[in-house]
This record gives sequence, structure tokens and C-alpha cells, in this order.
Amino acid sequence: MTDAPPLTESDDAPSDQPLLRVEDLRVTFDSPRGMVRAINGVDFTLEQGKTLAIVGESGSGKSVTARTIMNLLPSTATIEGTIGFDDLDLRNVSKARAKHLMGVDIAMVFQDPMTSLNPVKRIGAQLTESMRYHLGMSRADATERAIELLGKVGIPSPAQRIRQYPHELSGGMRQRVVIAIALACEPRLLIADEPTTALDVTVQKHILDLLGDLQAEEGMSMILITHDLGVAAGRADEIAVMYAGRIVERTSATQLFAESRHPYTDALLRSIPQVSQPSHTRLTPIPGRPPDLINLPDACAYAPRCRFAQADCLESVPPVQGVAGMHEFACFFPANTDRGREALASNVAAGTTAAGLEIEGYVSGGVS
Amino acid sequence: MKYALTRLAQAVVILIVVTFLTFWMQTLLPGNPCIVATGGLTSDELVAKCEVDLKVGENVFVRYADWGTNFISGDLGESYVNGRTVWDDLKQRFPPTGFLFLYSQVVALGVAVPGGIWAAYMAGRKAKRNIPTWLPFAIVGGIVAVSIALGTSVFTLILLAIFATVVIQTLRGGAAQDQLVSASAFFLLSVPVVVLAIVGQWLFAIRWNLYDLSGYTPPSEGLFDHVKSLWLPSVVIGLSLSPVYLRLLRADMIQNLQQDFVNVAKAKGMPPSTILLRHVLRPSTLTLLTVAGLNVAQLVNGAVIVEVLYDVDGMGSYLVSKFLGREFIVVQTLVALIATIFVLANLAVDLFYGVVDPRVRVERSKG
Repeated sequence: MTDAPPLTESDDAPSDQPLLRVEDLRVTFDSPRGMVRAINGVDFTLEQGKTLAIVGESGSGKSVTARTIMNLLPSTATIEGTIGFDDLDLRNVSKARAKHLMGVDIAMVFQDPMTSLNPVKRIGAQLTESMRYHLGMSRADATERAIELLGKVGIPSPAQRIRQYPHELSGGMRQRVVIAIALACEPRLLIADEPTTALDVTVQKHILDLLGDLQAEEGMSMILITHDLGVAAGRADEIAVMYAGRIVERTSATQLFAESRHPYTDALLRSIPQVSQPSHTRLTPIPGRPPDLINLPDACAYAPRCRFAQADCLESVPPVQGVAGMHEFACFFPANTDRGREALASNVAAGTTAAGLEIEGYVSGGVS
Repeated sequence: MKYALTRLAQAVVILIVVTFLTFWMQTLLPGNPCIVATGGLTSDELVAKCEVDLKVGENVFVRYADWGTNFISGDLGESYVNGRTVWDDLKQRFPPTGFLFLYSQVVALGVAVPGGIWAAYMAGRKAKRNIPTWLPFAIVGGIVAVSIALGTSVFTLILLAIFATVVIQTLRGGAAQDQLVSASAFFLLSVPVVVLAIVGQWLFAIRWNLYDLSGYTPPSEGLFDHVKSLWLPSVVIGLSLSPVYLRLLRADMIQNLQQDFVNVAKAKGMPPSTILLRHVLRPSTLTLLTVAGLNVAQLVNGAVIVEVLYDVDGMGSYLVSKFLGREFIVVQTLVALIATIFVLANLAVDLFYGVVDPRVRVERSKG
């Protein structure tokens, strides 16, 4: 502990505010085609020890959100809004505090374990590096802890593994190493950006279970980013669904699966295979494609693909409504409500939505 | 280990083929090599001795075998013009070239490695200050105009303009720094080494009197005098080599800086210096190593132009004089030496790949 800054006071006196607070986050990228509006006003909070799953398709802004928190965005990005972590403003941290912040208090697990380890460095060196730099541990102490960590993430004969190079391990084993690296300095917040997308389905479950167990053990908060609602189910306390750089629905996991409000969430739920359904049941795909983030309309971004879309949806961006902090959604005609059912019924009767999407018979309501 | 032995065996085969082909091609040249080599200036008995030595008239394989055995046993032949053995000449000619090569590589890498790392690091960054593009041109133009009005020398003018550009680009920061380094590299790349050598000579030996054009001093006569006798040609060769190294390293570094493991290292909270030097530099040196290995040929070829201009009696001038004198027997030996050094150096580079990147070793054990 040579030059580590003094710990924040909240360590002795836990504050009652949530660990992570993201307020009105906006991120744009300069590109040759124009301004890419990757994130357009994201708000969420995360309590100590809880898991938030951020779900969305490619380009919905979920990874950019994670990278913004980790300060990993390229210099072409422009960021607005505030990110509060503990009693720090993450966007204006002093240099001294920033030196031992990422990797110590906040850590991240990346998507592809095949590329996230340095191919020319031994596992041990990659694991001990951050402990020696941030915690000032000696080589021997750090190595001892590295072996312990590898054992903890379920790697057999860890003492031999630290002498190996990444290419000598399988994908699942490498992801375990990446998780061990993230846990090395006992972070309070772990961001897992699609940690299982690049892995076999059988390995996926092991990695997710491992993350869950470790989280419970260490009492850390976790943001689990995934494009798969199935992955979020049962593992997240809260789920935020992202679409075109906005959180369109945010509520507890149980509430979301029982009674989704946003038509996008509703459509996502319909596209997951259910064990309870008879075999060969057709899944309902979501028509159309995600919007172009350079030319976002001044309207609901989902409207062109939405079966509930009415004239209102094409005129203005729906504000966030619902019960603050409990069940929030950004929709004028929420699913599983009378208003939504009416909107859908009129669209079905007309055979087309206000945005011109042709629809056939479609039953509103959550998946039972 | 098995890989190294296979590669060594391959190297031996390559050497035999190369030396045999050059040997055979020489026999295609018209005339008696002994008469051609001496230019008819030496006595008949010397020509006769030469013909016996070289087995002139015999089958090419017999002659090659004879030459080869002599070469391996250390008898590199002799010049029939002055009677000196090639070995004696090498003992005298090789050290200046060897030291010149060593020092110039040190200079080239000393410039290219920090420059390449810095340029690659800055390439992806945003400018610190927004300085409009026309401003540097205006300032440099102003300096030129004022200098002409005041009648300062062209030399001062150029120095001032360079200084102004460096200051402006540094103030800009970010990618402008990369542009500055890359532009300097392009400048060095486009200036022929002969121009650098002459300008360097004029500046340091004549104008500022910081270098004595007295030729090579061996280290045995004092290390200080030795370095003093070689520093300027080393810097000239080093500077002319450095832009190639710099561009290669910069390109590889930029590519590797985009790898996921760099993001992981950033997420671990590692400082930029650790990421650049400990994570990205090593896997980025493969191309640099390859090209440095190819440059080893200079040990025998010598840097002819610089050696001649700086009066260093090294391998370059030796090789040229033997060529001009048509002493193909000596040239043949030198070609064999070049081939040997070249093949060995590149074998070393190949083996070193495995040290730099452990994945290479796996590929080899599979293959």
C-alpha cells in the first residue's frame, strides 16, 4: 500500500444511496457519416450486492453503457450526463483517485475470452499484475493469491496453470481466468459484458453460475450485459431493456417476466422458446431492423417495428412513465394494459399500424 | 529443439546451393579466371600457380568441392594481385564495418522504438487544443518572410521553421504528434543516405568541427577515440535506417493497441506506460525483427557510400575494389560469407520469434 489513496469514508459508514447512479447519460460518436447517437438519456441505479441485467440487441447501447462507466470509450466519443459511484463522480475523478479506481473498485469481464488475454504473457503475470500495481503486493504474495483465485473460479491444478500461456487453455477456462483477473482486487462493482456469448451453451451455464456464486460470496454488485433474456432470467434482481440507446423498460426480473409493459420487451419474450410450449411451436420474430443511430427519428424509435404503434408514437419520444424505481417504461400504449390492448385491436382491425407495418392476428398479453 | 535442428539442416542446404550456384555462374564467364583476375599484370608463374590452386580446367564439381573444403577449413584463398590472403584482409576490414553496423543499429532502434511507440500511442488520441490548419502555415510563412527581409541564412531559416512546426504540433497534441513523428520519418526515408552523409559531414566536421575525418580508430587505441571516430557515420546510417523500423513498429503497435487484451489491461487499471511497454510492445516487434535480420547482410556488404565518404576502410570499399578489379575468386568467397551470415542471422530471427510469441512454438510443434 505504498501510494494508494485513502479509502472513501463510505467504507466505515455505508451511505444509504445506491452504489452506482447513472443519470441522463448521453454518448455520441463522430463518424464520417455523421453523429452516431449511441446512448440517448440512460438512467439507472444499482444497489450494493444486487445484479442489474441490461438486455438489448446489437447496437442498442448496452456495451457502450458499460464502456462509458469503465472509461474505455475511444476519443471520438462525447459523453454527457453523470455517473455516480459511491461518493465519487466518475466523470470527474481526481488523478490520484483514478489511479487505483478501475480494476480495484470497478472491474470488467469482456465478451470474447479468446482475445481478452494477452497472448504473449503467462496467466500468472496477467493475474498478479493488477494486484502488484494497485495493492502493492510482493510477487510471492500476489502469486499465492493468484493460485487461490484460479482455484476459486474452478480451474483445476491452478499452481501449474499460472505458468501457462492463454493459448494452452480452452475458451471456458480462459473466461474463468478473465473472471479471476477481474476479481483480483475484490471490486465492489463487476461489469460482465456478454460474458458467455462466445462460449458453448454448456460452458455458458457454468460461467453464469460461477459469476452468481462469486457475487453472493463477495457481496459485490454486478451489471450483466446480455442480448439473451434467458440469461438474465433467474440471475438478475432487476432487468433493464435497452433499445436504440434508451432504457425502454426497467423493473424487477419477476415483474418483467410476469407483466412486461413495453411492446419491445413483450416481443422479446415471445421470441424465447419456452419449455412449457408444445414442441414445434412457432416463435414470433420481431419484424424489421434496429434503427439507424445516425438518423434517429424525433419519435418512438421502436414504432416502425411495433404492432401497437399509433399516430402519437410517430410524433414525439415517449417519456418514461410508470412507478419510479419500481416499474418504469417509455411507451404511450403499454402492453398488458387496456390502452395497449385497444391500440393493438385497432391496428389488427386495420391490418396495419400507424407506422405502416402490416400485421395479422396477434394476441396481446404477457407470456404465461 | 527439434525445430531448431531442422532449421539448421535447412540452412546448411541453402548455403551449399547458394555457393554452388554462384561458383558455377562464375565458370560461365569467358576467359581464364586467373588471367582476368590479375589483369595480365602479374608474372606467368603466378598465373600458373593460380591455375593449379583453382584447378582451372577441371570439372566444376571438383573445383567447387576443392573450394568448399578450403573455405570450411578456414583457407579463404588469396588475392593474386597483391598476394595478401583474404583472411588477412578480413581481419583488417571487418572490425570497422562490424562496429559501424552495431552502432548504427543502436542509433536506428534508439530513434525508432521510442518514436514508434509514441506515434502509435498518440495516433488514436484526440487533439488537446484546436489549432486551425492554416495557422502553422501562416506562422512558418511569416518566419520565412521575416528571415528573408532580415537577410538571415537559409540554414537558420530552416531551423526556425522546423522549430515552429514542432512547437505547434506539440501544442496541438494527440494525433498531431503522430503526424509530426510520421512526417519526420517520411522525410528521413526520402532523403538518400548519400545526402545525409554529405550534409552531416559538412555540418559536424566542417561547420562545427565536432567530428574528425581521420578514419577508423580501433577500440584498442582507446574507447573514447574509437567511438569518436565512428559516431557520425553511425548516426548517419542509423538515421537512414530508423524510419523503416519506426513505420513498421508504429503500424504493428497501432494494430495491437486495438486488441481486446488492451481493453482488459485498461479495465484492470494499468497505466498507459505499462500497457504500451509490457503488453503491446512485445507482440508488435515481429516485423521489426524480420527486417532487422535482413539488415544483417550489411555486416559483409558494408554501407559502401558512408564508408567511402567517411574514409572508413571497411567491407564495403573492400567488396567494391575486388569487384572493380574483377577478382572473382575473392568475390566468390565474400559471397559465401554474405550468404552464411545472412542465413545464420535469419535462422536466429526465426528462433527468436518463438521467444517473443509463445504461440509460434505451438505452431511449430504441430507442423
